[in-house]
Amino acid sequence: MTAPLLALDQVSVRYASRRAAAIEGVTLSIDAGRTLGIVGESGCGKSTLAKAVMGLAPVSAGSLNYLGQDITRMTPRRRLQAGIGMQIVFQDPQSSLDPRMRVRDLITEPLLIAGRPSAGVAESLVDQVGLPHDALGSQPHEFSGGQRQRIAIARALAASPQLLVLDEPTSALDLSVQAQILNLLLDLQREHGFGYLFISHDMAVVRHLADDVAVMYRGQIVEQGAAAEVLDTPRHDYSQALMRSAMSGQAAPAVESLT
Amino acid sequence: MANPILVVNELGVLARRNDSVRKLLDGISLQVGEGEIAGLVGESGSGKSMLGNAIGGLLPRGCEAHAGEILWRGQNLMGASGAMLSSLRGSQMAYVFQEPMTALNPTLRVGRQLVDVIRRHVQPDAAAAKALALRLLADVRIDAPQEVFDAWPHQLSGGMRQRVLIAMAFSCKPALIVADEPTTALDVTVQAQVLSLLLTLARERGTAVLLISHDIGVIRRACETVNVMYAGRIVERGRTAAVLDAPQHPYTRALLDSLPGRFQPKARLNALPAGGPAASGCAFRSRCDSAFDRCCDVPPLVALPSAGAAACWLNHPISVEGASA
Repeated sequence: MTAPLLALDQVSVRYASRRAAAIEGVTLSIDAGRTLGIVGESGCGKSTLAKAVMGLAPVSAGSLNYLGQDITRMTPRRRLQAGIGMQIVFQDPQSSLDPRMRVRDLITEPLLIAGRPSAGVAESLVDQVGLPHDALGSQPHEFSGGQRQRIAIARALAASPQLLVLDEPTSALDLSVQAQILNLLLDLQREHGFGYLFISHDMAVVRHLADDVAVMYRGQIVEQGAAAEVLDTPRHDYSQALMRSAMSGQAAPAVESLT
Repeated sequence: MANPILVVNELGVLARRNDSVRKLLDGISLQVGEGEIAGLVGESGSGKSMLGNAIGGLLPRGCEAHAGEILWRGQNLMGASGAMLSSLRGSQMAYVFQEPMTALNPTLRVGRQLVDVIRRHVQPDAAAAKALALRLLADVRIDAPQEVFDAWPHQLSGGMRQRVLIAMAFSCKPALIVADEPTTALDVTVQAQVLSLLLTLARERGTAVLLISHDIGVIRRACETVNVMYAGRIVERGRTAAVLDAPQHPYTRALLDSLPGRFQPKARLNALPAGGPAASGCAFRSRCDSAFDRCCDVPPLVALPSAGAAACWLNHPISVEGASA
């Protein structure tokens, strides 16, 4: 069996200012071409997990492996230089893109940091995310929310990643725009075999994108398994409560059964 | 509808900025019956909040209702004085907004804010107002009303704060509550509880609710009727089940098609093509698969056999006749 793209073994993150661990003993793995969905309410540690995976949070215990290589203590810059292909896309493209930079510079910056040539790359990246070439000369504020998220995805693709961490990438978008971005993510995965760590509070979106699902509660994974199983027949009490209260567009139970 | 308490007729709202004038709402007609739970759904920028605010005279500065009428129990509110609208909002109409933190004053204890509202609109006597406030907090299923009464807003969770605001909204026994994305800012696990609380109280008391939401799941669960907005107009309305199960307007259909829950996992979704509303004629025609010559004119909202209505030339009796001839 080949090594998974990314494997976390008993990872904990503890901030000095807090007594409780932000995440504790998280074990999971993601294979190429597959999507692991992470669900849970706000404050459960979903985003801390994303940061830990990206090397942006202090891992106090456990280890992270990327294609068999231990990256637990590697800074984001060292990872980029070592060709560890992991990138993150955040929820709000308004705040995750530097408003003063032009799109061309925004999406080729990761190459600059990695010390790789960038000639012609910008054009091919905007092609991949479905933006016109003349977008390269513009600044983020000239685009809609959906287009800005495409720019953020192009920037993530610049470092030729194999794994993308997607932290609520469509939560700030309208329904019709969300569908476009989800399609783009599916196309990219099919084409390049990316692994996705997909964080979302929206069960319908997770159901649509994820092969596997992990449920987080108070910093721990309380249940994980195949998406259909976890979402349809959750075993843990908390997962059951979460699925019951999830208000996705597909189910139509009567109002009385809401509580 | 047996007893409409609110009737909006051909309402138009303009935004003026320097010399430019922009239409925000155009030809909006809407009715809410006594005790009815009505939904207003649309994407951001469609004008749904603007419409909710216009009903109670809460338009932001620079915006002006320039056409049509808003009838509250038969009385036209267009051009009504600020004082009259303010007293109406306190006594017969109430609002619950999306963000429960900004709706409460952070420098005043929760109880004081509730009592202020009650004393102004319902019960001037301080002791009686406090008793009523505590009872209202219990009504919104808060276990320790006195504790919440004495708390500062920042000490409460988002769900708790929204309960307080629901208590405040019901304090004047309103006939209508305009609830603008009341659960959008809350956690998934709390959303259902808060929505269900709002609806249960509304049913018990016969209060009508105009529920504004971008979330079709919420609308489907909560509302008897739904109005779909696109680019400042209502493009379709009807019984919720009829509209969502058999949408007649191409935009409603496209919106439902972009919901991930309807497809096989990992299949491509039917995404709407990107693009803004068209400048003239039917605003949706630039993104519509079935657009034809006729769409250069704005389609009126016409009644359908399903008892709903849609603003699309495809459903218009004239074009249907024309097609069959």
